[in-house]
Amino acid sequence: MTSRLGLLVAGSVAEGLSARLDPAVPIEDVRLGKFVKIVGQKYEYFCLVTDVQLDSANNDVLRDPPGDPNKVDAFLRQVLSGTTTYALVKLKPELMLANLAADVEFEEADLVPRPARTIPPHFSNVSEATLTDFERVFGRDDGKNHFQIGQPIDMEVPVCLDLRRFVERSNGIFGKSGTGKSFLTRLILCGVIKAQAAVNLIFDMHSEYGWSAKNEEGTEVKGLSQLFGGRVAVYTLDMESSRGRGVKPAGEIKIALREISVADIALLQDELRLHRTAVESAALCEDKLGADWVARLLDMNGEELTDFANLEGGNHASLSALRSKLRLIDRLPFVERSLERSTLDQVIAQLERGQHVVLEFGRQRNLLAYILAANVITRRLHELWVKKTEHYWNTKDEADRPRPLMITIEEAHKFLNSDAARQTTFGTIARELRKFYVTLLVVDQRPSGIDAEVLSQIGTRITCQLNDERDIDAIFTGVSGGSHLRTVLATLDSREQALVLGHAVPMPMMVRTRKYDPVFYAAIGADIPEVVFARSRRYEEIFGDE
Amino acid sequence: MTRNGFVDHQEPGLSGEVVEASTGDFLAQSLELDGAPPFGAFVEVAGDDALTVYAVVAHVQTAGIDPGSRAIMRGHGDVRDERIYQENPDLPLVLRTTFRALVVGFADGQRLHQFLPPRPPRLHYSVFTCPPRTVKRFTRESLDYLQALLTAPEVPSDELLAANLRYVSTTTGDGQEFLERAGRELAQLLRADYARLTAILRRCLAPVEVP
Repeated sequence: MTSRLGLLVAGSVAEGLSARLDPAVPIEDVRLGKFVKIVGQKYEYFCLVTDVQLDSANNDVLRDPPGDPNKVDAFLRQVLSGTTTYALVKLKPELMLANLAADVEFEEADLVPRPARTIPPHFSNVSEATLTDFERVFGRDDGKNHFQIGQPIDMEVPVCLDLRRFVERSNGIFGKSGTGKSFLTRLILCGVIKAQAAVNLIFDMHSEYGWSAKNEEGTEVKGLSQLFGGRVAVYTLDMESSRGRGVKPAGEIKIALREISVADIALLQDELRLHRTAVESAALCEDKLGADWVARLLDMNGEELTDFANLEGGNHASLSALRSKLRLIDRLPFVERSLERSTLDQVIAQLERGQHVVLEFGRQRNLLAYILAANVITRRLHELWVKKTEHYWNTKDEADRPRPLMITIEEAHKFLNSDAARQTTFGTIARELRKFYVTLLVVDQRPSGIDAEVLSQIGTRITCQLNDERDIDAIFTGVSGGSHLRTVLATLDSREQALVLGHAVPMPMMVRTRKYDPVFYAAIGADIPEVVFARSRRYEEIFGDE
Repeated sequence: MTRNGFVDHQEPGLSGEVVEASTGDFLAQSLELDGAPPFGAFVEVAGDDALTVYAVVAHVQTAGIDPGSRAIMRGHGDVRDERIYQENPDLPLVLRTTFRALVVGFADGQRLHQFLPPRPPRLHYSVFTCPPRTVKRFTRESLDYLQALLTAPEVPSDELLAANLRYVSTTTGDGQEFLERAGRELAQLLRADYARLTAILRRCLAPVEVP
């Protein structure tokens, strides 16, 4: 039934375990990251293979190896393998669970997987984990609480994320470019949307989540709006570009100058190459000029600026520099002097109703536009959700409990680097955790650029291939036993493989990620032609052809 | 060929008679002069009860029957080798071939054991060379007897082991498969002595003719 791999021969809780591989098991079938089970007398232990070693019972063999291709040495090699020369498998025990076959009374707590705090005795059987083992540990994809993210590297069984736990904290998807981060993100968003675990706002810098996009092979893949119809609304900052790609956005987002605050400017310090004093000058302007400070500052001529500086004690040079930098913002196509009706309110109302929003940036994919728009919207949402939460705390009425909101940001290190994380809403959200029901889904290729404090608060980390040492270090910030996992992470393929660890999985796991293809569309209940057609009709009825 | 006393007896496999017996080994006189079973071969001695003792031929010797007398040179002129025997028909009467066999296991009824029997074989009982089917049965279940060969005193144990493995592999027809199994067993026993292991295994690989 279970295929035995070997016998436990040594180890400790701190250093991990060593098992001697059975001679009949080909060493090359045992790979890093493999999920194995050790059956102890009271508990079953679930472990990851962290290393595979060649060892020998006698060093003389290694000094005089039977290396000749002749008959005798070939025979010797055959005879020695598995007896004198053998393989050791290093294992990291992650979880322990009651061994139901054991004749022991178990407490309730023993029946759910928990971190391994002891080790099995000598010569316990080490075997491959079975489908049942995976289900006991990772749960089963039930379309509600658990979502299959992929399969183990060498087995055809599902590995699931616990979505309720997933949306409780901020999460990260990391990996260098071209490793399939955005497909993984799409996959997870689909899971969250399908299970209604949280309402999503996606800042779609490269306009690839809402409507169809091309994968690396050049095939069209479906966007969230195509899969979930009316449940996902696409907004755009660049109507022309969206229309050009055949998207029918629910609306165009414009930002009025008065919707921009000092905090937004502070975040743009890098992009605008602002001097350190610029933020202070901006704060002064906001204090003295009111909500319309940006517009009023921009409209000042040289004389008025000098007067303002003298009157309010500002630094003329700094104010003047700030004004010229603000012109860059003013020139952004989606920034308007004033708006009759705030388009942001429309988006926020949509999210409040539980509809998911993808915000496309179209051609506005420069960082200045991206950071500005994302921060302005997120700041508003955060304020609203804090208010909602406080209201809920007062009434303690379940009906007032805010919907969990998950905000997806790409290029996250721009928002969460150690300078920005302290002053921006994104930093606050990342640190506050689930207190206010707003969490982030951080998508980034340089996790080392993200503030360490923020990283340590990231609940679930889904990591594709990374090469830079500093990035790898960053992934394991605040993770115990990280050194064991480093070798596993280092062996990930460059495509469609990821290491999942943290809050939403009971133990770290290396997975082949699920394919984002018609099979997947069908699995999440989309892509039935009639449904898609019905949805598109409803869409047009709701939003019109324009 | 002349026989040592058993002139008309023709039972197949019959090789000799026990002339000295102890717990760990026994000495048998061969039925024919120079007709001992090969070095490393399996022999068996059945008793009156269900006890059959199995042993491996570890030493073969041909010398004068009288322990006090030693053979002298009989050749002269061009009388050499086989012609000496023709000129001296009394030789088979004054010479004898004996072989010493190490006890490696026994059968009591249906069960085989690879450790020493409770009693040695009885003196003057017949020694048979084991038929291939018995060798196969004896070596199929376990190879614990190799340990006994490996630690046998006063015999060239490495040579004995190699001879025995060659004998079994050719007699049973299991060849390579048996050698690999035995090689693994030996590798376990000799994990601390790699040089000895390789020396034995090298000797095993030379093919041997079954007499």
